[in-house]
Amino acid sequence: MAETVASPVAPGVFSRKASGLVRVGNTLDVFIFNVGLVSVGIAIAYNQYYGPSLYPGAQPWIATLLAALGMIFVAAAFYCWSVVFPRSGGVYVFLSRTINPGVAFVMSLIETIILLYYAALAAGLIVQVGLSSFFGAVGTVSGNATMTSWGQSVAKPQGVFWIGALIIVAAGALLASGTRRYFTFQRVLFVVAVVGLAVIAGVMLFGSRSGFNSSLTNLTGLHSQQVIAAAHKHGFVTAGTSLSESWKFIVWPLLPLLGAVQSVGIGGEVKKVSRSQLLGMLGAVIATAIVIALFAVLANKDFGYTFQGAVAFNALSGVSATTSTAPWFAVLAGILGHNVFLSVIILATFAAWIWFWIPAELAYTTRSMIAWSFDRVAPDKLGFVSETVHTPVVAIGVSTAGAVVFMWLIAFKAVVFLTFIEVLLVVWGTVMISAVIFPLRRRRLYESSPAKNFRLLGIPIMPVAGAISAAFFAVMFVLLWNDTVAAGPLFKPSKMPVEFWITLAAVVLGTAWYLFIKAYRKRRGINIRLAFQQIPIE
Amino acid sequence: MTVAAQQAGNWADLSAEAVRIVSEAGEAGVTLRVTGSAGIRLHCTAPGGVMDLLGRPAKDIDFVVPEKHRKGMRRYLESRGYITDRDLLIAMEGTRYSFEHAEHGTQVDVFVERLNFCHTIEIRSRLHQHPITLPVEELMLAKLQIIEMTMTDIMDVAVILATHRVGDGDPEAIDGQHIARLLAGDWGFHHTATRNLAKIAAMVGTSAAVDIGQEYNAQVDDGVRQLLAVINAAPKSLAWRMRDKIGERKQWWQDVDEKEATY
Repeated sequence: MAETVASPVAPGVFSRKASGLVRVGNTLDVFIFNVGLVSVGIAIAYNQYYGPSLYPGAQPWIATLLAALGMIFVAAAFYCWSVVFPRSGGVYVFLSRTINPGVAFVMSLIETIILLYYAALAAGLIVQVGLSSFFGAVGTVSGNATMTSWGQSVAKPQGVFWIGALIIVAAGALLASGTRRYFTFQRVLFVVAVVGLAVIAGVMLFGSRSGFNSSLTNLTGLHSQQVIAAAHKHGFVTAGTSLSESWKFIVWPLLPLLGAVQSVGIGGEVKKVSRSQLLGMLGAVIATAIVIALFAVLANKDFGYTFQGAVAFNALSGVSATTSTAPWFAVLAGILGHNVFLSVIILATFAAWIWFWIPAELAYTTRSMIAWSFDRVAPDKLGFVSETVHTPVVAIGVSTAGAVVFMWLIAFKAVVFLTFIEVLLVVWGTVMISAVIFPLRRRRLYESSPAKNFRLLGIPIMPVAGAISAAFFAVMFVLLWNDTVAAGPLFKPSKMPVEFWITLAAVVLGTAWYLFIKAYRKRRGINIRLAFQQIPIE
Repeated sequence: MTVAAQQAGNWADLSAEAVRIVSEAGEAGVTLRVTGSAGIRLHCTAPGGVMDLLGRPAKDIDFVVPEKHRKGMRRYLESRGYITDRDLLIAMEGTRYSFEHAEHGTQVDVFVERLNFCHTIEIRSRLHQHPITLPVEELMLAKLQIIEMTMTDIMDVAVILATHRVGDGDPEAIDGQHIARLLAGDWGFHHTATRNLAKIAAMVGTSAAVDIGQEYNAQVDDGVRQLLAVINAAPKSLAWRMRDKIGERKQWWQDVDEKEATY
């Protein structure tokens, strides 16, 4: 209840500014939000599928730890932002109040498009890596041909689109039912996913290479040496552990690890921001990196590094010496388990981990949209709250629809926008550079925020972490640009990638929209720039 | 005009507005009950004078509404010139509303069926006990649940205890058994409430800010002692007793923040 006015009776005793706002998320919710956005399932799947197969000598565990090291600085910089502006709306809030509202809107619009794409990508992965692998592995282990054929059917474009779209709509509906329910649902699912992961770790810890090879032959008729020989015949290259290849491979574990800081988008909805965001971001980076690296080591132990590379290489190259469904980590773990029940647990666990991405990405984008709406740079309707479900259904609907459109592009047009990560690095890199100049540009705000006191050996963390993170992102950008497997150049004069045109369209349309809305509001006597002068309550 | 007189004027305006809102909303089929300091002021005529004695400032009006009347409540208040705080509307997802009048600036907070702060107080079954405000027990519990009471909160509880005796059967008495039953099921709330009651007893009469005269001070002291006796005598639930073993080693309240911008 609002108790903010001091009484003349006893000045100084009316210190409680608390007006009774009970925020929805606690430290655990923030941690789960970030860990979910890392998606241990996607990280392990990508690492073990693409690492040994396409980067000879690259060790996913080394690449993961290197990526995590860089992400610690990113997390530190975003953490400082989150305590300076404990609000929801993500990079839009930081940039609009530091650099320029127009730049902030355009950057945030681009970020929103990218994150919606990744929500759709995750929905597609649930179908391909989760459901398809589930039916494939369970069908193989149980000897059920119908299930095995379902595994192949659901991975076709129609299956990917319809099931993926249904998953996205379900995630949107979950958000529309309320943030409190969303967090509760995620907590329950997190427990399930962690228990499932522990079961898989147990299976792998006590499993052996010979046991895996024996199961592989029994269940699929494949012999590991034949798989490797077939791969070599078609150009598969093997090499000893290589630090330079591991460094090149860093961009793959980086993609999921970028999710570990995305609680910056829901900063206004969490209790004890200083504690929640610190443990939520840094905890997510460290915990997930350790788990992902651990599974890479276990995978090498049980499946063999060369076999993982060969079986994935064969699948990617259309060589027949591979499993009937794509040999993602979950499929190989299912074979190792050699038990229907264990296979169900393994595949369900992976599907659960991938799911976390979807509602979290949608949630992040809806918060950006609402922040635009409140600052009047987007139509008021975007912040409309339903009187039935009491949530911002228009923003959630727009995000959901956007992700479904990307789902269609992924399923039917085979669009893979990994180059988008380059664009995301530019957007977040701008936020990192802003962290460097923020203490100078908005000195009063910086000095009145808790971030001013964040120092290590006397060095202010916010600008230093921002500078290191900006440099880290720049290096990652160059690696992605030069890596045609992971992404490739965003700007290629011979044939511009779709991502370039989407980004260009977002920049042009976003800028035009901002200029239009600024003029439109001005005609109605509203100076939208005033919104950016607002300073959050300290 | 003295500060006290000015505040009395503010209270009069605020009280009149609160009664008008409850009455007109009721005619429109919307149940609203006043809580917070305005509720204490309105509960009966006696506390008002004591509040004036304490110089308790008038600020806003807090209401509680049943869940099914949310839509009607919002429409009614908006029709009366109150502007909805959109930020809070989204942040609280229908569990709480905040309004500000476009002309006179009166702040109105509306809570849906429960007061959810440091501890939670369910109101649903108690909404019709009084025609204008929440029952006196809930008015007092709403203050006793605060983990760090300010002087204004202490004044509010002191006013209730100075003007209502602890007992049961009498509709204007504080039903100690009801309060004891609620606290017997929630160790955290019990701990905060009893700690606050002890703090109030220690401050009333000894602090210049909470001195309402010898007679009233004695009534407050007597009320606290009676209330603590009833609360302590009530049989506790198993969950209460188990939580009691842990004590203050684990946080026993829910964190409550300022009503600042979320977006």
